[in-house]
Amino acid sequence: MVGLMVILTHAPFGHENAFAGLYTALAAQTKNVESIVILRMDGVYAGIKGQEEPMAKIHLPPTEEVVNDYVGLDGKIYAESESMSNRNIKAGDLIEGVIELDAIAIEKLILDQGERIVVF
Amino acid sequence: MLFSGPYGSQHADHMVRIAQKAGEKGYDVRIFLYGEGVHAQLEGQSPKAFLNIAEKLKEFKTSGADIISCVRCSQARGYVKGDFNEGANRYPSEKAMDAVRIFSLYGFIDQAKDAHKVLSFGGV
Repeated sequence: MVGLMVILTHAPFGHENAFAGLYTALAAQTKNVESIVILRMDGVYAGIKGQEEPMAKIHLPPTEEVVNDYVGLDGKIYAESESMSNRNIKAGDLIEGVIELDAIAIEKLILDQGERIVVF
Repeated sequence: MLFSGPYGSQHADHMVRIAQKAGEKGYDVRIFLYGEGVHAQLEGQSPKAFLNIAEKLKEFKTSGADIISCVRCSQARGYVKGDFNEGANRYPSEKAMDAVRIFSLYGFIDQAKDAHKVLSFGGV
């Protein structure tokens, strides 16, 4: 079991959820608590690379930066392939370190590792 | 973890009912208020037709629950007044109830890392 599993279901901008979830996972990783982030539904948008710096235009915090920091601390982050394909997101669109997994593998991960799950 | 406000949805009501049952079953109850959930720390709530979330949090605290509110979320919503008080191990507030300790997100990690279960309310 990992220390904490964070499931993101919201896109990074428009709601606070994605940033809050990523920040929570980053805090866990910073405190050496092993964590996993799963991007499902609209949460997969948080895994797309090349997002513009949002603070400059819409005054929202940059989730791509948090993903990079999280991956840099060996945090594991997975994007569900079905949610990606529904939204025409390709593997090449993902931030480096975000790993595509199919729904069966994601569900196995949740069942095997997800004793402490927070959903955003 | 509560991620939505005390009223306007049933998330907070659901959270306190689960926490109540968990406490009755002998579990240590730990509550983290995050995002809009920090509004549950406001002193002086007086809902007419809803369960008073503030009063329930005070009851939990009296029973030994650990209740923390995210400092960044609290600052954004006007609850924090002043710098971190090291002696009290909390940020000061004139609006938040004493039963809730305003602290960093690391407080949640400490609450969660050895928890039997972690439940989140209001994130979806």
